Amino acid sequence: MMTMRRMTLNPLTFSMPAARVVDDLLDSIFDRTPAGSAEGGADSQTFVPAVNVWEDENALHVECELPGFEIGNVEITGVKNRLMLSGTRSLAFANGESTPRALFRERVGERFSRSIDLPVQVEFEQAVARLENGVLRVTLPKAQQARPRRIEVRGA
Amino acid sequence: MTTQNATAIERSEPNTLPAPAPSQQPVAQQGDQSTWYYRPSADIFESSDAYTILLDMPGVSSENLEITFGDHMLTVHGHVSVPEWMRERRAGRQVIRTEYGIGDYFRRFEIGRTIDVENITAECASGVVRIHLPKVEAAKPVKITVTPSRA
Repeated sequence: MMTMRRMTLNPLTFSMPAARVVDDLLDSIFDRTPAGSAEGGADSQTFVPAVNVWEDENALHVECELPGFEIGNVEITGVKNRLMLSGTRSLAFANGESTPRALFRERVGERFSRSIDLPVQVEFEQAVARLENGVLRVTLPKAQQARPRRIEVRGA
Repeated sequence: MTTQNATAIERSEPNTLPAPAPSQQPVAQQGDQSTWYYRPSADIFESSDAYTILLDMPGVSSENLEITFGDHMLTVHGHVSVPEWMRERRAGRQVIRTEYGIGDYFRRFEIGRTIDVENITAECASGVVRIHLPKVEAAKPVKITVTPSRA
């Protein structure tokens, strides 16, 4: 049941230091386990959503497709260089509505969990998260020391 | 009154789509090889008086959703524009990880004739599309009272 979009991880197409490429490949292996699995919080109903991550000068942007999830039921935690996302949704019918017979089921589970190692230091206190039409967008401003700085070159 | 009768939801894919494509892989629509769509995951439920189809279509809002019914085929097409960061390169911007693609959704369901096509309704919230297909009166189960025979 854990079908999701084909993973198109391709960090090699972008100019990155070799060490970071290796890091990302390792991340991609280790990341794709539920963040709560070590505490026994995960089970077969927990799925690991795909994420897109990009950066500009001032921030890291993490995007994740979470159809049916509401922002109130999504938990976003930042620890050091790790961002953890988890949440629950109601799969089909609201409370009080009798659940009819399922003829066909493809949609993923009611809970998700995902952790992402961030390549730069960010200010979690300044983070902004929006969940719109089932797409979560987290903006993580970079720490001052992680932002590019223009260096004045003075002629001798 | 054009309410139609007989049979049920025959099951999803018409012959025009390549057979069991994994969910959310891009699926090409026949006749237009250059257009790619994502196939949204679906659940189908049946109750005594209706069928309900739920589709996960993150990024879609009701104004970008087109649902049509004709020739026993329910067609769902959701338009999602590719975000600028994915479309264009820009100085200072770097894509770190792309695990999923973004684009239009497309899926068709073959519908039998137990459906009251005049009263199909759909709603879209939080990227989940919910289509309500009421059964026609003739298709609803009828309780038959059994009277004890006098012997």
